Amino acid sequence: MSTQHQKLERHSLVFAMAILVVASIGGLVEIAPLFTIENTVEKVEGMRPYTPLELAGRDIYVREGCYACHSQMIRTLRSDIERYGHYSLAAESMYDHPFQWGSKRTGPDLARIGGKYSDAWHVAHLEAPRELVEGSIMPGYAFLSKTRLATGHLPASLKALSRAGVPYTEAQIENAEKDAAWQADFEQNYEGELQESYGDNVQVRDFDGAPGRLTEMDALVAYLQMLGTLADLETLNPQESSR
Amino acid sequence: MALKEKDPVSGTDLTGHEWDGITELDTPVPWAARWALWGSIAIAAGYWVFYPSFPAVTDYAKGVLGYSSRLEVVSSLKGAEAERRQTFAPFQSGDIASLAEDPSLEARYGAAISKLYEDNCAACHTAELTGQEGFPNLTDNHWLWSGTAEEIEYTIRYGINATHDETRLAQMLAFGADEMLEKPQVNDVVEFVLALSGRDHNAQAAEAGAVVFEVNCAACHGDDGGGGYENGAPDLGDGQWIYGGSRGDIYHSVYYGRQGVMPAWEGRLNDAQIRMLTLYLLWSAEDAPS
Amino acid sequence: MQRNLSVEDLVIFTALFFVLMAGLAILGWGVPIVYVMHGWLIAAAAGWGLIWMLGRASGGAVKMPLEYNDRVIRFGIIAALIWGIIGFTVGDILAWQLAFPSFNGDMSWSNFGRLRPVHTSGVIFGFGGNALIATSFYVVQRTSRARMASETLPWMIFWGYNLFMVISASGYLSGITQSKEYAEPEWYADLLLLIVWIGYLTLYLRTLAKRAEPHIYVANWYYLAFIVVIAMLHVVNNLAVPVSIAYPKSYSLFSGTQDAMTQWWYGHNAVGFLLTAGFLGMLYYFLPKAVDRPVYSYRMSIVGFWGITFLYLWAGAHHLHYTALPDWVQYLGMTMSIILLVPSWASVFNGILTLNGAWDKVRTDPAVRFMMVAILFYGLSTFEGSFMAIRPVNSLSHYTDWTVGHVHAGALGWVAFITFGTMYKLVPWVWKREGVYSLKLEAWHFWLALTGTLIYVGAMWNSGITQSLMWQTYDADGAFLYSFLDSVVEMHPYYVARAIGGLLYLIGACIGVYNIYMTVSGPEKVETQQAGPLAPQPAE
Ligand code: HEC
Ligand code: HEC
Ligand code: HEC
Ligand code: HEM
Ligand code: HEM
Ligand SMILES: [Ca+2]
Ligand SMILES: [Ca+2]
Ligand SMILES: [Cu+2]
Repeated sequence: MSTQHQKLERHSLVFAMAILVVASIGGLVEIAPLFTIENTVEKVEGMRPYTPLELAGRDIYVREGCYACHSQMIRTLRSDIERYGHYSLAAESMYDHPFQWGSKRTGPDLARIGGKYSDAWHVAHLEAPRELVEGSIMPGYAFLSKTRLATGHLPASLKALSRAGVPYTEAQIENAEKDAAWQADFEQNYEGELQESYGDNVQVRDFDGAPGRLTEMDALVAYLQMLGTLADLETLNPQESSR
Repeated sequence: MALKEKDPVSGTDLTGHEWDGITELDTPVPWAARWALWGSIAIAAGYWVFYPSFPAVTDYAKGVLGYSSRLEVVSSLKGAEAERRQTFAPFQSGDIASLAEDPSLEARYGAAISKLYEDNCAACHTAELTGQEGFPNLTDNHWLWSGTAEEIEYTIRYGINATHDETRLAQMLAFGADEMLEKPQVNDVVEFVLALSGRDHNAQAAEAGAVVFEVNCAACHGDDGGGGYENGAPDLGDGQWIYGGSRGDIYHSVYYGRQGVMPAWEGRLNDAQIRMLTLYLLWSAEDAPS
Repeated sequence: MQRNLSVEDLVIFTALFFVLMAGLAILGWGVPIVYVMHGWLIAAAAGWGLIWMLGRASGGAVKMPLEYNDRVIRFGIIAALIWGIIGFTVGDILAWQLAFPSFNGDMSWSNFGRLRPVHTSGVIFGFGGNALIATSFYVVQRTSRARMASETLPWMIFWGYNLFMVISASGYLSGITQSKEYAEPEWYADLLLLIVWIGYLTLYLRTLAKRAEPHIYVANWYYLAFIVVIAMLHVVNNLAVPVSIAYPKSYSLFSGTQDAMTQWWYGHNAVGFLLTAGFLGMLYYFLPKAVDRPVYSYRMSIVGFWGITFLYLWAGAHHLHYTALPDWVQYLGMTMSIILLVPSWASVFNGILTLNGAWDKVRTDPAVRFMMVAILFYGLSTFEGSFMAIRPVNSLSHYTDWTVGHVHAGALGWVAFITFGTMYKLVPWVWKREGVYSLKLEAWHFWLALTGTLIYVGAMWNSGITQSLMWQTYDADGAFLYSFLDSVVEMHPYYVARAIGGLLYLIGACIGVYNIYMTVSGPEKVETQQAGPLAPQPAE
């Protein structure tokens, strides 16, 4: 062995190529088939791309680094499921660019937080968590309620996502800015339009308790309130989806 | 081949190379390392045989055991659920009213239910159930929706102003913002509400407010402001406030209205759990110092 | 006036020109203010580089002296120390924030989520990365008996890399992040790093190619693996679609499960090839050098090296046990992680047994003590890692502070210890000083760092196991015994202990920096001995 190896040690470029080849194998075997094996992403009804407002909220979730404390991945463990709900499906993050499964649970899992609390609670909690929940160690995000949501980039965002494979239609991309405002505006009722474009499970209301004002809080709460609510888990066949 | 030099300390051959004064011994790989390597590969190979492992293009090796994390956890959940049907047997029955009459349940199950409550309800109603601004106190024996076991169970299951189709609706209108009342009228009726609960108030304005109240508010809050169980309108004279009892708070309630949301728990909690929580609230309300 | 532009100069010149254009585009079209400032920084740095190159070209052909290039190494050491202090300080702030959340200040830039990547990038890439670049430059020259193959590239690498760091860290504070752990920098910073890294790879290969030694020394295998594999990981994991040049934001090309697997293939191997392979390279040069003993076994070096290079890339799935990642990948990740222990420990034994015949130095030389403890912590954290990679064990450790304890056993105990041990040797060498300013302070640093690490890791083992038990314990009826919030409240004493341990570590590091500062500002060694003539004749 060692005499063979001594030959390799004499050629820097060959050595570097050898490293590259040896190091590529693991990734090729483990990652490439995830794109080709069909049941990697289960079949389940209800999944749809994020609405522009939810997407903006998700971008804020990413920006603030909520994933540093919160997982969004309920594992196939009894205690996870009994505390947080049905185990997470691959399909439930199929439109997540990037995924937000997290690696640390300093706070609870949020994969199915949607509908667990009210909008008002989320707003109060995000503004001052430790005033609402005694013993919490979550930071406060009061500035979100004061910051107007920037929407100018949303059409470009949807466009970028569609390049990455999310099936947004031309119309959805074009209307992104308007759709975001509509979804958060309680006064005028555009529920029909949005549901026609995105599906029945779009929630339309003023999320931050400040009607007529479109804030970052609106977007973040809209995102939190839809988490885990899309997939119709009844339509999942556990036998087929075991993999 | 040139004779290799020996390291005087260990007596082992040197490889004969040298870099900036660094040399290497030609020590063979110890047997322990070889065994560890082949041993760990054998363990791994065992897993590859028995468990899902190597992929192909459209499928993967399933393993001899046909193991699947998902199938396994689903069956372990079923087992746990079956067990709980035994350990929590009383709550499997639908008759909440007679359960509420069984005094032995609290001592037996109170502690177990408290964690279910804390994981789901305490965020709003606090761990002591005493509520906080915007979220009602559940121990004060002043229920918005009658306070019978059946009604509480219903509230928990379907929520208030929630997204469920069967949810209760509790709408305090925005009398000021929606221009149903003039500002002075709002001020008057606020003084009247302050009077109802025996707070400092302007007696003259309260008198004017009484008229406003009778016309606009009594339908929901009752003639004496004692609340209405049909629509979740709170008792305004009991000194217990969801949104605060200061002049400013009350003004805000009347001017902008209130539509507190209590989420629906059907789907997230099962029937037995909803029953447990119902009883838990009743016990706590009984035990609370009034 | 004589013009003598080489091919290399032309390539670098073109690259700088494009970077300048990109910087100008960003500062012209960019939207959030921090992004615009990044545009200014990029443009200024590239413009400065261009002017510098023009000035130098007009001065005639670049001379390549027949001696080692140590100047850039000094810069690298200083940068590593600065980022180290920043990273440790922010780490300790984070630790206090978790113990006393009001330390968040509840401002946008100061909260935990935004500060955390400043810490992780600061220590891993700022401290670790600069230390690796500096030491690799030192080692490749000495073990090749050749001056670095370029006069320009080392500086481009150093400044480009630290520009990347400044952009990344300041971006995190304003919320510019891709959220992929250890790959948080956004697309434009990623591209910048890619350019720097290509320069690094070519410089390294070219320097190796002109070496005067027939064989490539094992330290260089590791440094080379670090450079090559990080390049591969960086490119694949950062594939993303930018929203537009006007915004810092991008969306990763992959989604969900595939994105998760790609990320942890990257994440685990950032550990494997930056925090492990790179620092093993450091170990393989500076340890035998410090104790003046031959490496214990050349054959074990080979087993260790190729074992790690092959196996690490399979292990990433152990970050995704019981998730929506298909079972087969989880089992592959788990089994390969178990085998991985063997080559890892091959390096441990190779290191420890190299001390044979020089054990007295462990007592007398704190730098050697740093290195020895580093090896032990390396052994500990790889054993722990392979253990945590077993699925049932991971069902307890995942999501908890146990992982954080494991990370810092490796990070504080291994990465930072080997680095400081090396620094105490390297600084007097590259600044041509007699020795370290104070051995006593060096020993103080050692003991503070060791105490801090033990407190940190001990606290996290306790808190991690407590967390996982509290999350999974049922009462006799099959109901949870604890609410989630119970577990949060229970962590408080451990978080305080960790913050104190971190503070000790930080104080130790500050003493170390002071000691190094005093060493550098001390008198130069009277007689400098050349490490051997630089051969004009390459081996390949
Ligand atoms: C320092 C860690 C930390 C960060 C950062 C953090 N959280 Fe939390 N979060 C917690 C903790 C601890 C709890 C549990 C106590 C509580 O409810 O406040 C929690 C609770 C929550 C809950 C309630 C979950 C439940 O089921 O009760 C939500 C929703 C939430 N966080 C959202 C967020 C969002 C959104 C962000 C980012 C903008 C964020 N958190 C950032 C620590 C954190
Ligand atoms: C998102 C916050 C929130 C959570 C979580 C929550 N509640 Fe409520 N709950 C409310 C609010 C707000 C009201 C009052 C609604 C109103 O103002 O009309 C309420 C009202 C109630 C009432 C009616 C009180 C009465 O006087 O009739 C009951 C009973 C109740 N909650 C029980 C629970 C239980 C049990 C849980 C946990 C399973 C729970 N709540 C969780 C917010 C919450
Ligand atoms: C349509 C029915 C309805 C009418 C009419 C109505 N209320 Fe209410 N009111 C409610 C309900 C339901 C709530 C509880 C809302 C909640 O908890 O979110 C409430 C809450 C309040 C509160 C807050 C109580 C607390 O605990 O903080 C005040 C004060 C109040 N009403 C005063 C009035 C006055 C004064 C009027 C007349 C001008 C009035 N209400 C008319 C239904 C009504
Ligand atoms: C044989 C070697 C090793 C193996 C098999 C291994 C395995 C693991 C495992 C199983 C986890 C937990 C994943 C999870 O549950 O989320 C982990 C996390 C981690 N390990 Fe190791 N480890 C090894 C060596 C090291 C070393 C030497 C370091 C050096 C610093 C290190 C740094 C980390 C880091 C930073 C994480 C945290 C990743 C994150 O979640 O952000 N590991 N490792
Ligand atoms: C003064 C010394 C240090 C202190 C006080 C400290 C503190 C912390 C804290 C509080 C966290 C966040 C943990 C959490 O999210 O719960 C963290 C994470 C981390 N630190 Fe440190 N740290 C220190 C040194 C280091 C060093 C030297 C390195 C690497 C070389 C390092 C690498 C990391 C990594 C990789 C993580 C992420 C862990 C994960 O995702 O699981 N730290 N550190
Ligand atoms: Ca709004
Ligand atoms: Ca990146
Ligand atoms: Cu790993």
